[in-house]
Amino acid sequence: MASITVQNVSKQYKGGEVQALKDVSFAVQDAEFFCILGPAGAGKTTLIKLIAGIEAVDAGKIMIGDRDVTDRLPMERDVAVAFETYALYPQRTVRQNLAFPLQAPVRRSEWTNEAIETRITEIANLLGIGELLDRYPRQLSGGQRQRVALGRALVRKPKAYLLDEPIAHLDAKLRHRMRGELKRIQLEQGITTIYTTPDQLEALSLADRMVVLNHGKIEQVGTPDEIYKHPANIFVARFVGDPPMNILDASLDGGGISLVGLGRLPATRTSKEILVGLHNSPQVKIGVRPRDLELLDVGAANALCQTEVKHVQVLGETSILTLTVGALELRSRTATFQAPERGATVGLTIDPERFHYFDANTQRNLELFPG
Amino acid sequence: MTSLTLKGVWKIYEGNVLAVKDLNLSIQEGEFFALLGPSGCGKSSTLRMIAGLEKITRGEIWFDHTLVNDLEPRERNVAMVFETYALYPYLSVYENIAFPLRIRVWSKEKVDQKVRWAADFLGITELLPMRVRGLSGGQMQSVGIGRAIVREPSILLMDEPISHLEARQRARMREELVDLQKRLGTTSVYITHDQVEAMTMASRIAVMNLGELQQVGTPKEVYARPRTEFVGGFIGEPPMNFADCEIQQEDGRFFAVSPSFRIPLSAELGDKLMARKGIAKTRLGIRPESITVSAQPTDYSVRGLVYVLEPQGERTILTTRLENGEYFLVEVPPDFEAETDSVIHLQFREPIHLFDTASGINLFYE
Amino acid sequence: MSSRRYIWWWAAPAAILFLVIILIPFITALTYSFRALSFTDSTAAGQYIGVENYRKLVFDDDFYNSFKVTFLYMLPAVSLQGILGLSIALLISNVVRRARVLIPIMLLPTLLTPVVIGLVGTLTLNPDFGVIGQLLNRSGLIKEAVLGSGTWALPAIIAVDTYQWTPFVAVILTAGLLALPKEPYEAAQVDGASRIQTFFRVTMPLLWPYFVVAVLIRVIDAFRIFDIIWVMTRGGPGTVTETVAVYAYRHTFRYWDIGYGSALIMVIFVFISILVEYLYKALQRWQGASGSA
Repeated sequence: MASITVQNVSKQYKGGEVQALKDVSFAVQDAEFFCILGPAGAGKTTLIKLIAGIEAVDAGKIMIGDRDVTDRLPMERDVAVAFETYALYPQRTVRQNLAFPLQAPVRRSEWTNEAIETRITEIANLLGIGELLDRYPRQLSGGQRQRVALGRALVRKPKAYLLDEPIAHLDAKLRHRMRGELKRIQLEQGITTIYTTPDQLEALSLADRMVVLNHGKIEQVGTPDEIYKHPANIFVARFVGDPPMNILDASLDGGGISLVGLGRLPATRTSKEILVGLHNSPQVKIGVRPRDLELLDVGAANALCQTEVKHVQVLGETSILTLTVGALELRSRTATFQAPERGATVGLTIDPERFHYFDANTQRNLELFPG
Repeated sequence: MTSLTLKGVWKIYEGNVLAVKDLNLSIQEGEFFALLGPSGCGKSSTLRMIAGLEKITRGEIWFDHTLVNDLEPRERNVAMVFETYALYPYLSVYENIAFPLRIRVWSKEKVDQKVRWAADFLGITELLPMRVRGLSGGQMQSVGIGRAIVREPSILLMDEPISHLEARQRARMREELVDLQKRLGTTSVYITHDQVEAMTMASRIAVMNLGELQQVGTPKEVYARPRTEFVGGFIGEPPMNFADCEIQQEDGRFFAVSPSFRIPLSAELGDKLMARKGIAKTRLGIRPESITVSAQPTDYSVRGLVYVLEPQGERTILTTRLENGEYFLVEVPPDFEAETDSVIHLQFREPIHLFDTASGINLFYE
Repeated sequence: MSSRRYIWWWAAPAAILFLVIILIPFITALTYSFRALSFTDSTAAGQYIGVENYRKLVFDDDFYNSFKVTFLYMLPAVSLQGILGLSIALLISNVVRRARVLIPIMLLPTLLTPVVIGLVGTLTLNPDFGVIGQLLNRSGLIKEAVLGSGTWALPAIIAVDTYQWTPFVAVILTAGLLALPKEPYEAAQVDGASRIQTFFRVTMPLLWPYFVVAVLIRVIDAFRIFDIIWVMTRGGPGTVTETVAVYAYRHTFRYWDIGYGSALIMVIFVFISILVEYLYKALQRWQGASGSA
């Protein structure tokens, strides 16, 4: 049980050629489920390694609880790590792999053989690997190996779990189940958990709080709700949410909002406030979530413009439509039974109250960072 | 434009490993056809038999009116896009795409013309002189596709071509591949374990499990009318909920009853149950989207405890623990809030599916 | 207390080993090369003489001859070992998958000390009682004693060396063949390549890095080859089989001109470094990109 603080951490590779992390700072509270979300190469795995102590920081501080652990070796930090690449001991059975952390000299006093067996059974059942206990890693499928790796991290009760894409290689059904189970375990055990993933859906569904990382830099820190509803910049706006938020060029004036290529909508209170903050340049970028695009009958009076349906992707109850207006391409999320056919022309409108406003140059959210 | 027919196709590997069991498929000309199923379901083996990379143990494969069982891959005029791209790493993009043509010793001009056409078609002309090694996954896959289409094959086979790409790239490639196939018009068979891919791309999907064909239909069909319990549970995210229950009759109405719930069935289902006498036990299937919740009990509502809440932006997934210890997933509005372990009441709405407990077949599949 | 630093203590034993076995002898030899040190010449007692040894070296025709001999040996030997090694690797790569025990068995010649191989070679080639020697003599192919023949001594060395080292090349290439990715092969099958086309267009390019490794190792070894030659011909007849290593040995440990011998070694060292550097780059370029994705 401990908080984790990362302060101004930087890390380079290849003598400065690759800047993996640049001045990263965030705090994880005790017993929090904290997600690090970012695309491949963002620096998530590097961050895990630094917090675990597997690699040393180039600059900055790492605190676990109120101890400065920046120079400490991993075993002194009392954290458990589950690697995306499993890193199982190939010459040991699954049971032995799971038992290994509990048999470390540091912990020998706490864990009797009996306690170890009980714990192993507990975790194995949780992860659905009970029948695999006497097999060797080479006899397991990728999904099974990943669960063993996760199990090995979970057997202990450390100060914190550091999980690096721990369920990435499981098939969709299993991933879904494991997500629910992980969230539940974490809640029950109250152990601080840091979980990395490139999947924004996973981060949103698991995290108490999260950080969005891109190219080694923090884009935003906050609760999933905050990040989804008030993305700090266009990167976050498009990265969180599937399909990605539509970003449109627009210009504001006292009476309305002119969306380039689409049409004009009446001004809202927010748009007027933003206009005031913008001083001279009324150009902005407006973000609209796919489900906020409304489809109407072709030629409907209240339509902003007409659009052609280029693609229909049936997901189930909802479908994703790709809509074209001239050279612009937008994506909407629509109920399948209401969705028009591919090639049809329909009317399109958007409720301006649902707009997100971004600065045309800095790309930052204008409601969070005015002017 | 070639049609593809599989008649009673079996594949048994050495050591009596049954991979494909009595498969019958009829794929139309120009169709984008998906073979969907979990690993080990037989989709890879099927694709490789179509390509000629594996021998057919029993049965027939026809391209239009030609029986291809004994033809070598090179004689079948198929092209394949591989999951791991399978590019020739020491050749440039140009040479990779040109490879199939060089094998056939085409003239330099013809090769050049075709390679440029393929590159242009895919929008990768700038990549032509580059080495394969520095390319991103998406680019490598495009080169793989280029190599496949340069010969203008009769049938295009795609083996999980985008599974190794990043989420964003995958979403984009899905649209691009559909677009590409429409422009080419080539009959295409696409295999994947990802139901989203199959649903969003294919005109028809064949769902397979453990070597057996479960159902063939359009995306809407397999979603709304799953033929088997497997299809019901495999298609759709989050997955369908299942529970064993008994059929009881009371006052002319039918009910699905389990220790956790007592649900009235629709008149339509009732009519069908009447026609099929003697059904006592069945397996009920209902999608998370078909369940609503309320804090207070309603008629025939199902009582449960809030187990886990997973907010996902557009919606929230609520995992509920029912009286019988079963976990049911429910789709609730994005701002839904509830205390963990608090009591909640579920309303099961149509469509409710009933599956045979032994065969798993949807009792009322037409 | 920073606990990260004691990791350096773990490197100490290896560092010491490196110093004692490699670095110190090398630097010592380097210093000797600038001194006049000879156990047979009492005037040369270790005094510093600058580049005198090197100057002597430049005019030493026998030294140049030894280079010529080395190349005359190296080119046929490496080529033979490469081709034979590749053929063997192709033949056995399928079998080895199931019978890994074949590999140590194949490697037996390589594992034996060159001295033993040399002795066995000498005995075998003897025209009076050696198996091959008799064969050559009686059939009329080579009337004279092979190892004493100006024409046949070097080919004999090449043959014995090939016997010892071909398995080594074969094993490296077999490992390579087994490690090759399967997908390009399937792609080639679907693309319609014939067996021969597949070999030249898919197998060879993918196998190339392994080939390069094997060839470079053998090239470097060519400049070190000593035991076999010394045991079989002592560098003779005359200087027909006197490679650079044999020549340097002669000066250092026969004539005991340590200063000159050290200078010879230094020059050989520099030569190998440049040669390998150039060869490596050339081999890389010839095949384009190195290695599979």
